[in-house]
Amino acid sequence: MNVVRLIALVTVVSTMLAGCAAPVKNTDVYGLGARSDFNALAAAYLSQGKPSYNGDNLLEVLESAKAFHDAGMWRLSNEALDRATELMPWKADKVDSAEEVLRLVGTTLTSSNAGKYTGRIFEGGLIDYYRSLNDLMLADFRNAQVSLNRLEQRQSNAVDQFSAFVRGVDQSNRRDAAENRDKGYSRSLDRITDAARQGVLAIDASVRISEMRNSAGDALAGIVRATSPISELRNASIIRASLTAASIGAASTAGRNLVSRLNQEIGDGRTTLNPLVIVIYEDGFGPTVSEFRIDLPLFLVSDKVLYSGIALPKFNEGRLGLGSILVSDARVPTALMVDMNRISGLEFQKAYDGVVAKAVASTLVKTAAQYAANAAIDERVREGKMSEGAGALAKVLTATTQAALTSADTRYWRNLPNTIQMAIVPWPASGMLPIFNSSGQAIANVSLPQRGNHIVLARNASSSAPLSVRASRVN
Amino acid sequence: MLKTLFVSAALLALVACATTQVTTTNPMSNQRTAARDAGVSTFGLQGVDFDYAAKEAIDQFMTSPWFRKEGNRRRLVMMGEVGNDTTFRIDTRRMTDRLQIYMVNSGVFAFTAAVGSEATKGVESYRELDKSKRFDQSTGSRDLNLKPDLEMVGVIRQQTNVSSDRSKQELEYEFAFRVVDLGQGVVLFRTLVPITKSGSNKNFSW
Repeated sequence: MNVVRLIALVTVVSTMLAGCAAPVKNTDVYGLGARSDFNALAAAYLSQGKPSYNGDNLLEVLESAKAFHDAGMWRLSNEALDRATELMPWKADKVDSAEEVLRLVGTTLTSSNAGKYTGRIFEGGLIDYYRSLNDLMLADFRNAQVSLNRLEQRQSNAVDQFSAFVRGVDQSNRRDAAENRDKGYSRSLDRITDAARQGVLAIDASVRISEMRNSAGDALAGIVRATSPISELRNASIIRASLTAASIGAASTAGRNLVSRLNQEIGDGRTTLNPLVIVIYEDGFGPTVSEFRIDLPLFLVSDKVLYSGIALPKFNEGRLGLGSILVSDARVPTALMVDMNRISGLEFQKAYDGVVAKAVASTLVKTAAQYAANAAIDERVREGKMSEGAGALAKVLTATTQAALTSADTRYWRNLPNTIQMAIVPWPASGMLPIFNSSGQAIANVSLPQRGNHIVLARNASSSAPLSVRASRVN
Repeated sequence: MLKTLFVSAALLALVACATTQVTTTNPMSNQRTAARDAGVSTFGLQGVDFDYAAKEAIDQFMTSPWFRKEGNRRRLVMMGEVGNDTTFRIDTRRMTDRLQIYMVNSGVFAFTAAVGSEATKGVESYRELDKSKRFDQSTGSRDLNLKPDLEMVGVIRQQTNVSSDRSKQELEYEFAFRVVDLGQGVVLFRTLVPITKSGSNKNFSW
């Protein structure tokens, strides 16, 4: 093999791998979001006014659903969320599910992100949460109730699902350990444990499993049920159960206080409420995942192996927008209900040891392959079938290929907020609801002319960008 | 490699087989239907479930103590809301239509289209015609709208139970209905028709 062909081959392989690693539409989520230009963000998933996302790519479907939601395109968002529901039906996450098997096979043979994106547990709840908000904005209370019922079931199941997930990863690791014992798996794993910790440094170690629940969703479920025009749905015991869950899962004391007040107002399923305005504010952009590499100490190292490293995912905290807002002339601050860093960080943290172990096993498999390939090259050089220069380049090729195949799974639902906050204020008799930033500057004035309960969705991704606000009368 | 792929294929086949079978307590599901013939098996509610719930509820109503005592007089019923408290996007008219068909066919009940969830624009606009000079007021009906005697309301609920080993799930549906005397504000009849569906817990039921 001559040098030119070798270099060409390296280039082709690298390009192909780079292509495989691009999982979703390359939308400038952070650039457009930084300007709060949610219409432009939604437009990235449209072609001539019609949806143009890849309906087989769960991550792209989720991002498009949220982009449509942020742009007030409720029906398009619902279509995408329904598609996401179809792509993510699993309940008890076990390694014997069809997609999990394929994902693990893909992980072992190639790289961590070559497998199909199958979604994270907390994302399932968000599908139903955003579906219910879309339904409420469309004044479709029946479907909103169904979405909130699904959310309740998903959230109740999440802890069991989460345990099954951890067990599945653990079993898979034990298999890897047994299969790679001769390649020094355990010793390699022990030696990198400290270095690998940097992947989860940004996650608060005190995060509780109960925080897997979307507290804003639970509070919303209680409110929607208590204000339902259908008396059969105003079931006080279910309302109280939703509010209890909201209180337990709330990410702040202010959030728990808000739920406590709500419990006094609607906990008995009263029908004669004064009209309320429920403000749901989404701030900033949620956490991201990046990649970092560390050298893997190999216990099979020889001159036949030129490269062996390990690529791991690193959890990075989300970024703030305005931080919080003040609502109505009384300047009621929004209360922190959901911290996406904690919800998604919890899942990331629990899976992380498994991810590290899986990456070590994967690297050992690839290193063994590199060893075998290079031994064959040495043999050909010795037999005079390949020059020493070509042999050296061929070894570079195998090492480059392994380096290219070594990558962490950094796929993440990018346009989620950093936090979800909530405020509940009386409907303003003036029909206008002012909103202020935390310094007290007026940043929006929302028209709510008709007496009645309203929902106001506010979104901001950057302190320098305007607040995006949409409102609907809910009943 | 080959071994791994073989195991994967075998698991895929097993998973495919394991996730389709759903059993139901609805006795009418044994009847021959197109869906049954096509092997459609679902946790969701099907036409045969609404048929059973409506027939069972109305049969119970027709044999209730109140009906046996008072059922010889023709009654006008207002259809109220039937709530959907399940995890399925159900058109509840599939339920209310069947309830009304069974009740009207009994010859004892009629439903009002002047008020309630079945109120029509036609009745409303017909009243407006009485005030219009463009219509010959000697034609058409001069009857007044009738006030309903009874209201029928209900809800379809769902409770999901999971087996201790988390391999099976059971969906308990409850079709709950009430008949209310609108004049007295008294609940005359109440029923609850259960249907349970069981199957794999692999996926969410919807």
